[in-house]
Amino acid sequence: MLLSGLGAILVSVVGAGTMLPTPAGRVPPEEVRQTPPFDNPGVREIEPGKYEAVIVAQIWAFVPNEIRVPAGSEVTFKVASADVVHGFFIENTQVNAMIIPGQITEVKQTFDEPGEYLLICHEYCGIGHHNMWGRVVVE
Amino acid sequence: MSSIATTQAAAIERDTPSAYVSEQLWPIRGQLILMLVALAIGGWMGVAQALERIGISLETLTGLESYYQGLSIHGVTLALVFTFAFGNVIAALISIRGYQRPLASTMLLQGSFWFLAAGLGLGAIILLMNEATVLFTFYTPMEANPLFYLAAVFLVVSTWLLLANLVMTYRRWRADNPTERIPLPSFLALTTYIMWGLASLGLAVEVLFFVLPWSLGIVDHTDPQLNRILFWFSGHAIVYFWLLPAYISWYMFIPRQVGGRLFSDGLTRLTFILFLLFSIPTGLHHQYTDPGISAAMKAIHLVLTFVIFFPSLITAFSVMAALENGGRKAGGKGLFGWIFALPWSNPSVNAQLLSMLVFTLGGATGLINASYTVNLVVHNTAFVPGHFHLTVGTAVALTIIGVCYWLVPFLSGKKLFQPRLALIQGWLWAIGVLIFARGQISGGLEAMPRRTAIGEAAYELPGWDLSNALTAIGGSMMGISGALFFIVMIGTLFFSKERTEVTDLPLTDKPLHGPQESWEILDRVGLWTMVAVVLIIFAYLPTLISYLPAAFDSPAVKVW
Amino acid sequence: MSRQLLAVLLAGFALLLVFGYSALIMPSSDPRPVPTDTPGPAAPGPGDDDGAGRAIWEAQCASCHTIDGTTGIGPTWQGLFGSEVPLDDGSTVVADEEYIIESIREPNAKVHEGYQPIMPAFPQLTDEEIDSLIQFIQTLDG
Repeated sequence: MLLSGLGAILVSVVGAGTMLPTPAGRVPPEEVRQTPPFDNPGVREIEPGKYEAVIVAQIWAFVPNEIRVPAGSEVTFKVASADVVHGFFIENTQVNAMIIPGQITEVKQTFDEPGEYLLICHEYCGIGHHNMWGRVVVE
Repeated sequence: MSSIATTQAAAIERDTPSAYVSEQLWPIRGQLILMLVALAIGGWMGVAQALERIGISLETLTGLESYYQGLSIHGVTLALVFTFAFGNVIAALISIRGYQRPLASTMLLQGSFWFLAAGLGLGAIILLMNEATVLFTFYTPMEANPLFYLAAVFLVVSTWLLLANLVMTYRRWRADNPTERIPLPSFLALTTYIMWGLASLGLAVEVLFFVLPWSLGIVDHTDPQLNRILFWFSGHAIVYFWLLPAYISWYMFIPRQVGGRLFSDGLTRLTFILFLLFSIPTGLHHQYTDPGISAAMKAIHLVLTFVIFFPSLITAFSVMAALENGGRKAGGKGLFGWIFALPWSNPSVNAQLLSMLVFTLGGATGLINASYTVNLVVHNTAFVPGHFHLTVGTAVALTIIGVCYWLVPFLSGKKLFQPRLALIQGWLWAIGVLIFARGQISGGLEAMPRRTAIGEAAYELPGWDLSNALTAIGGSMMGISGALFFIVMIGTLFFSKERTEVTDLPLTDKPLHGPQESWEILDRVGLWTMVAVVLIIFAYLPTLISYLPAAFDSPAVKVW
Repeated sequence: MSRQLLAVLLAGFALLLVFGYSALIMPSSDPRPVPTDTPGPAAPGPGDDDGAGRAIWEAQCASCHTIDGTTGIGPTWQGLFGSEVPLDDGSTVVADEEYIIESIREPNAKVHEGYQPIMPAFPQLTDEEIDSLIQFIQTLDG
């Protein structure tokens, strides 16, 4: 039973390409806003159909907090924290990561379905934590 | 101290000479009282949090400054004090009874009480002053008042003192009994505390070497990722430190209470050895989504986590075997008749049987959390509190409540007050938590975050209204159940008649397969401790090596 | 406890367990259609020349400061500019440009009465961005 569970996990990783967040570089939180690419957060197209969303997570907002991309895009999110541990969670996708000061978080997601996807900070980061949110708008 | 309690103590001393001594009984009773105080405070916070979801402000209801202050109090009092106190009480009692002698050091046992009291007292004051609204995981670089971390240290030291005591007692007993098998009850307590002793090293290093100096201003910067690795080194094993005392009740008391016999002495020893070996090298499954750790190490911890499910499966088998044994002896016939023949009218048995049934859903959701990529669906959503209110919140807490239904009468010499209320309490808790967990699990699967004041949040999704309603209803039912429990406890202690019969702990005596049939190597606790250390090194040394150098870059931030 | 009562309770309990397990079999909800005019976190709106001030508010300030008079973690900005702000030490100060700049650079130098001193500093905002914010605040009449 457990072996089949492990097998299913293997399928999800190898077959479906689902990946957990892994080390993607470091940046001290006090220097995040001066360090590229976080000195210029936003959404950029790097190739046709591939976008890069550079986001700074701070108390208590994502900067920027709206990411607009066309349907079918593969978006690479690069997120770093300027202060404390934050969460980075987009509903209905595989994007579920921690943003840890000192570390860079990089996760990819392909958005096939148009729609609006809620982006939430899901790790307690202070008194305004429940107001820290954004959205991905896929057109 | 009531006269029956004195008489009882004397009678116990007659049967097991010099085993229970009053200098050792009062720290045990004292920690039981502290445990109940922690449950009351934490439980009240829990009810307030459940109601917050339907728009009743926690601040207005409790007078606290924020939802998160309430949540911090809830976590610390329940996950650290309530659980540690029960562990200390049951391990001390059962070791004394197993070895038929007092613990080796009265001073250390009294020290356990004082440190637990100091931890609860200091922690409660700091938390109520809103100086430590960082939740019980206190992730850096959120910085709390240094006294908060000191309170946590006191709580852990309380358990370390008991560990030292248990080891000393074992060695003295072994000197007098060179060839005997370790009495099963004492063996279970000893292995549980050795496991926790190893597990707590992560927390100890994190707090003593990194967080406390940083919060005192001795160093300016800390490494949050490293601190998390150290925290979760202890953080998964701590759930087994919560769970194993409940298993001790299921293995050691429940068979006697249902009139059955434990299935196998050796299998029980094996189970606890497996917990000793595999509880700690699994911590990274709480960090699947951390960026600073490689996928390979996370995968290794995944496999080890699946391994630790085995001893719980074995426990399910052994406990069911004892239950079936007792049920059939009581006249139950057919495939399921024995279930109905069990003593459901015994409030202690009732609560624990219900907690076992609920635990199945807790275990299933735990496997889901552990499943690597599946974790991406549930991490940090409300699914997680749904899971752990079924496990620590019911399998452990409701079992502790069930144990109190015989333990408090035993220690106080008073009859249980209103057993019918106690029966209703058990059902209400189990039904309430299932509704509560249903709400949280479905909310989490619909992207509701955890550790968040959902009632005040700036965002919401369509399915959350139902989820919040279920959470509030279930949580309220648990709150009423908690109130019933306290009515029964206070009634027992202050308004109840004295007991006339003198009893012992409801200890199971002869297992169906006795110690002489089990492998002697299971008793080599020192050997298994070393194997555990090797496994920990295997699981964590590569993690640390691949993570280092550390990034001491984060200054303190006050976020509330 | 009588067998019938126990049977009823256990049956009901089994139903509840099934109910609990049913939470694990959830249909996933599809993403919602893109809204045409929902006030999202960063929609530019009327009131200032290029929406820059409002965009900054929505991106970094809206989590604590409302613009419609409702209470938040921080004071509302409706009617703020030029008003008399009561401070936690009993004095008052006029909310002019200087006050707003100081509030962003050194938030806890002057704390609004009745609010907690928890506003973080915003060193990332340039002087031009703060000017846009001030212009935006000036449009929010009480």
